[in-house]
Amino acid sequence: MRTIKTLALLPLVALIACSDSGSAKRTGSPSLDAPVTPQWISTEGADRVSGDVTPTSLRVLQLPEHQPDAMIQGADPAPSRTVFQAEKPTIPQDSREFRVVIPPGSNQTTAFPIDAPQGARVIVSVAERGKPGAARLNNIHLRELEGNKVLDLARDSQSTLPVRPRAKPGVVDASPEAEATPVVKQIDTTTPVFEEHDLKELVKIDPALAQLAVPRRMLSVDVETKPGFVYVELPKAALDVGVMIEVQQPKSNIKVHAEADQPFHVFGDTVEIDLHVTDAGAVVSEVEFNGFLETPSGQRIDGLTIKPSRDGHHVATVPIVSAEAKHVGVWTFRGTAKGKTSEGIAFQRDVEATFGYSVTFARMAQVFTPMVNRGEDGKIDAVQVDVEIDSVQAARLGLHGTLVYKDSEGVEHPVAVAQTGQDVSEGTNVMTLVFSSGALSIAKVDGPFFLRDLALVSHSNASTQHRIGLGLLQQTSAIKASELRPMAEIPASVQESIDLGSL
Amino acid sequence: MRGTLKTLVSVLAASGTLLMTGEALAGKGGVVFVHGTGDYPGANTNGTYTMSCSGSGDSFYCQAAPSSDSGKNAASAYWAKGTSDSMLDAVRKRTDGSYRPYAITGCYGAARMPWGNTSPINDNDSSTTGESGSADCVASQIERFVMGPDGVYGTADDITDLVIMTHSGGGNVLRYILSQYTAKTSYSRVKTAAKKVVTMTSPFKGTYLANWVFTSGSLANFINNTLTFFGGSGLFNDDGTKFIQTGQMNLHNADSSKLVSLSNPVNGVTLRSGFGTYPDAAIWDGKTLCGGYEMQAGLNLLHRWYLSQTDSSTYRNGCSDGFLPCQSTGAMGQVFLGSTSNATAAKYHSHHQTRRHKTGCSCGLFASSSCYDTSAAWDQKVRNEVNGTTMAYTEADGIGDAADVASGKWDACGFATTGTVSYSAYGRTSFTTPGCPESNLGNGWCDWDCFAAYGRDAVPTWVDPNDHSKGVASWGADDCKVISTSKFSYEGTNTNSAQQNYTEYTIPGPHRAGTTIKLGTTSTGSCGAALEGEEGSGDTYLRLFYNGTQVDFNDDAEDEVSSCLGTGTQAYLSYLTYTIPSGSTSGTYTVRAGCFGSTTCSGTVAVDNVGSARNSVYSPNFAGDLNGNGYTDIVEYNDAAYCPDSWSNDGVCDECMLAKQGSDGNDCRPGAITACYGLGTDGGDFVAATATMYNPIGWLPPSSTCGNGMCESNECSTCASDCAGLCN
Repeated sequence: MRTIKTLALLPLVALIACSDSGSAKRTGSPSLDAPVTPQWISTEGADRVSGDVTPTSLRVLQLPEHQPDAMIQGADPAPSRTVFQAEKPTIPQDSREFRVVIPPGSNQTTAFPIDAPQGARVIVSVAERGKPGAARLNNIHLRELEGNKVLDLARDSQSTLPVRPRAKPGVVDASPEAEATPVVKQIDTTTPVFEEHDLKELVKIDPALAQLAVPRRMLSVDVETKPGFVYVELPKAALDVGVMIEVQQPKSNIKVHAEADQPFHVFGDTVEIDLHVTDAGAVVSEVEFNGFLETPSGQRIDGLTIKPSRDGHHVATVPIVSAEAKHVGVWTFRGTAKGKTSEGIAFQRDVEATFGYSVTFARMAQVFTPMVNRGEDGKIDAVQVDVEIDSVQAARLGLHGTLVYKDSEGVEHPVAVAQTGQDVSEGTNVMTLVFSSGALSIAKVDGPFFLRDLALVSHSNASTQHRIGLGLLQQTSAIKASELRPMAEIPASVQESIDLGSL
Repeated sequence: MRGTLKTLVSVLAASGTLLMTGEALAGKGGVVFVHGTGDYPGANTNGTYTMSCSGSGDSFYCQAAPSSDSGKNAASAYWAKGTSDSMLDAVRKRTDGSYRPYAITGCYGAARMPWGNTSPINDNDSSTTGESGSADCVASQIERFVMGPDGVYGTADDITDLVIMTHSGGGNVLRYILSQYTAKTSYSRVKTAAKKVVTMTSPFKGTYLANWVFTSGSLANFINNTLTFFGGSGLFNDDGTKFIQTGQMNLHNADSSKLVSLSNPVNGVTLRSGFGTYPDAAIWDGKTLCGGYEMQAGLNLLHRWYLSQTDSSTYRNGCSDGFLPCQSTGAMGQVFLGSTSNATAAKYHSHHQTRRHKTGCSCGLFASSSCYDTSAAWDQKVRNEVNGTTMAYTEADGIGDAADVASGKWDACGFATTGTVSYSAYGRTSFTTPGCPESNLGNGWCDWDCFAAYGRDAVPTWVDPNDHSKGVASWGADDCKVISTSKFSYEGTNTNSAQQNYTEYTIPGPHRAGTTIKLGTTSTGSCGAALEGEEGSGDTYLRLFYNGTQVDFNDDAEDEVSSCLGTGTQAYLSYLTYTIPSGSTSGTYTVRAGCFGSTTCSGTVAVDNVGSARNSVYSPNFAGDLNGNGYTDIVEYNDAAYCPDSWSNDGVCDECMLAKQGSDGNDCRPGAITACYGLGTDGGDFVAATATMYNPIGWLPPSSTCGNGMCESNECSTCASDCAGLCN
C-alpha cells in the first residue's frame, strides 16, 4: 500500500528546486492546503467525455530506441478569455464528389451517374508520366449513356476549327459609333459543323511543365441534360495505362456522411462508423455502401462489414486487436455510396472517416488531490498534481494538465497549462504537474481552479496513452488572485503574448 | 521510480524549461527560418542533424550542414538565398538598419511527419524503429543556433530572444515542438528562447490536395507527381503530406500527444498567421511573375480545378492560395494578413509567393520599378512581425499602382493586334481578328480583345511613352469594369411585399449612367437569372430605390425573365435588372428585401453594379441554351460567356479564358503557346453592321524570332533575352 505522505512530498521538493533557480521566491518553509482531505483517487470509473482515451489493458509495444533525457517540467498561462472545452468530438465528414478508377489494361470505359448536371465537371487523369505521346486526351468526350449525346464542348480533332498561320496585323476600324452585331451561333451537337482537323500535336500537355506532367483534362457539362448515367469515351492508349475520373457536382444537394463513434480508440475497441446519404437534408434510404480500411502505413484492408442500422443509416464495424507498432496512428475508412434518391435519380459519392488508434502500455492509475503550495508569507507558489503511472515498459512519457476557472455563469476558462516530460521505467512511477503561481497569476482571476484535460502521452511513439478530459473532477481549495505570487520577471514570450492580446 | 531530493534538483537544473526568466537576461535576438513540406536535409542524410555555424555578433549565421546538392539546401532551394527573390535579408533587418543573426534549418519535411512515426510509408530513417519526426531535426538545429557562436548552452552569447519564421508545413512542426516541449531538452530550449512564431500560410487544418493525393488508390503515384513542384522532392505521397489530409488533421489537432488543440498561444508562445487568398495568374498582371509565372499558373489551375469548390468538411469555401484553403491557413494564430472568407476577388499572394520577396517587385520583369500595392506588401508585413509590435518597422514603399506586363512581351497569339486568318469555315474564306489597337483602349466601348490582352479596357499612362514594353504606370477609367459586386442575406416575415419589416441594403457606388444594376435571389439560376452567390427560399420580394424613390421592383423572376416562367419555386424568387439613367448617378441606390404579402422567406441577394453602358463582358457563368431552342448558344458579340470549362488548360490558348480570368492554365504561358483560339469576324472589319462575329477562330502562333522582345513558342529555353522573367 502506498503512503500518501511520501508521494505528496516528492513533487513538493521538486518545486522548491525550481523556485530556488527561477522566478518564484520562497520564504521559510512551505505549507500545503487542499479543498478536502488529501488523498489518492483511482482513475477507475472516471467520468468520460468524447476525446478521452481509456486503456483497457496494457501491452508491451515495440518502441523506437530511447535516448535518456532529463525530466522537464513547465507551466504557462493560458488564454483565459477563451472557453475551455473538455470534449473533443469527432468531426463528421461529408462529400459531394467521387472518383472512378479504371485500372490499367481495361478494354472499356466505365459509366457513372451525374445527378446534378449543371456546373458539373469531370477531370480525367491518365496514369502516365513522361510519355506524353502514348495516351493523349485530345479526343475524349463526356457522353450520355442513353442516347450517346455529347455533353461537353471540348475541342477535339473533329470539332475544332482549322488552325492556320495568322497574317501580319492589318488595320481595322473599330470605332465606337459602329454598332455591334449580336449574333448567336449554334452548335448542333449531333451534327458537328466544324471542319475536320487534326489537332493531335496541339492539344496535349507540355511535358516540360512539371505540375501538369500527367495527361489530365477537364470536361464540363456544357450542354443541358438530365440527370443520368454518363461515360467518358477514352482512347485505348489511356485505358492501357489506367485512368482516374474525378466528378465534381457543386450544384448537387446529395451528400454522403461518415463519422466514427469516437475520435480515439485503443486495443480491443470496436470502432463503429456511421454512414448515410442525404438529399437536401433528408436521409436517402436506397443506398449501398462499400469500403475498405487503410492502416496508418497505408496498407489496405478489405472485407469490412457494413450493415444497415437505422433510418437509412449504415454502420461499418471495425474491431481492432492489433498490438503492432505499425498499426498505431490514424486509420482511414474510405467508402463509396451508390443508390437512388426518392425521385429515382442515381448517384454516387465517395467519403472517408478517420479515427486514431493507440496501443496503451502505460496509464494513470491514481491522481492525488491538487495541492496548493504556499510560502510562509501566505503567498501561493504553485499548485501541484501528483499522478501515479503504471507502465509495462520503459519509455519517455509526458503528463499534461489544465487548470480552469468558472465564471459567474459556470462557464469554464483555461487559466494555466502544465506538463512534465519524464523517462519512466517498467512498473509504478510518479509524475507531477506543477502549475506555477506565475503562470496562474496572468489571468488575474480567483479560484478555486479545476483540473481538466489530464493526459498521459508517450513521446516515444507520439501516442496518447490515457486522457481524462474532466480530470476526475478535482479542484483546488479557494484561491484569491491576490494570493498568487506574481512572476519576478515575465518571460519574453509571455510578454509578447500579452502585448499581442493573446493572453 | 521515485527520486530523491538531490536527484530532482540536479534534473531540474539541467532542464531549461522551468528557468523561465533566468536565460532571458542577455536578450540577444535572432531569426530562424523553418521551411515547409519538402526534403532539405542538406548533408544530413545519415540521421544526424548538424548545423554549420559561422560568424559572431550580428553576423552569426547557421544553416543545416550544406550539401553539394543544392536541391537539398533549404537556404537556396526554399528561401532563394542570394537572389533578389529572397526575403531573408528583408526580414532580418532591424529598425536601425542592422541585421539580426539568423539560421536556416534543413530537414525531411516531405518524407516525415513532425512526430516519431512507427508506421511510415517509406521508412528513410535507419537509425530507429520507424522514422524519427522532422520536429527532432528542426528542434536540434534551432537549439544549436540558440547556443550562440560558442556552441555552449547557457552562456552569455546565447540567442535568447528568438523569432521563428516558417512557411507552409513548417507551421505544424513548430506547433508540435511547442505543444510537446517536455519531450526533449532540445524542444524545451526552443520553447524557452522563442518569443513568437510567425507562420506563413500553414495548413493548420490540412488541405484537400493532400486528400487528393492519398485517395487515388492505386494511381497515387502519378497523381503525386503532379505536386512535386511544391517541394521539389517528388515525395508528396510520403508521410509529410499524408498527415495533412484534412481528416487526419482533425485528429492531430485534438490529440494530446500531437498538436493538442488549435488554441493560441501554444504553451505561452503566440503564433501569428499570414496567408495568401488568391493565386492570381493574370498574365498581364506584373505581380504574377514574382516567383515564377509557371508556378503561379500551376497554383491558379489547382485553385480553379480543386480548391475553388465549396465543401465545409474539407475546409474549402472558394478561397485558397492555390495549395491550401484559407479556412485551414487561417484556422489558428493571430492573423496579421489574410481572410478566411470567400475572397477570390482579393488577389493577394499565392502559396509560392508567400516565401518570396515582394516589396519593389524585384523578382518580376520590371526590376527597377514595383508592382505590388502597398496593402499587400507581404514581406514588409512579415518584417514588422519580426520586429515586434512595439518596434513596428516602416519604410517608404515607393510602390506604384501598376507595372503591368505589356502584351508585346507575351502575346504570341497576337490577341492585342489585328490580323487575318485565311481558311474556309462557316462558308467563309477568311476572317479578321480584330485585336485591341491602343486606340481602342478607353474609347467608350468595352472591348473583349482589350480585356484579354490588357486585363482592362482603359487609357494607359505608359512608364515610358516611347517604349511600351516597359509597361503601364497607371490606368484611366475602365470601359469594361464591373463597378461592384456584393451580396447580403436576410430573413423576413410579414413584410407586406417589402414595404414593412424589410431589410435595407445600400448598393456600393460609384454609379454610372448606362450601367446595369442586377439583383436576384434565384437559387440555382436554372431559369437563366443567375447571379453569383444568390439564393433564396419562399416567395421573395425586392424593391430598388434611388434617393428614397422606388425605381423598380420584382416579385417573381418569371415576371422578369421569361425562361423562369413555370419553373416551380424558382419562379417565385426574385430577379430584376435596372439601367441607371443619366442624371441619376450621384445619389444613393438602396434595396429593400422582403417577402410577398405576409409570408416568410429568406434569401441572399446578389447585387451586381455592372459598368459600361456598352457590351459588358461581365457574364462569367455558363451560358448554355440562351434562347431555349434546344441548342447550345456559342457566342454573342462581346460576350465572353461562351468559354466552357472544357477549354481550360486543354492545350490551346483561348482568348476568352484570358478575358474571363487572365489565364488559361498553361495554355497561354509565354514560351509554350502551341495554338491560339480567339475572336474573329467574317467581314474584314468591324464597321459594317453586317459583320458576323465568331468565337473562336483558330490560328498558330508566329514562328519564333529571338530578339524581337516577344517570348514566343519554345523560346523559354532558346531565347533568354525575350523571355526574361516569364519562364521560371
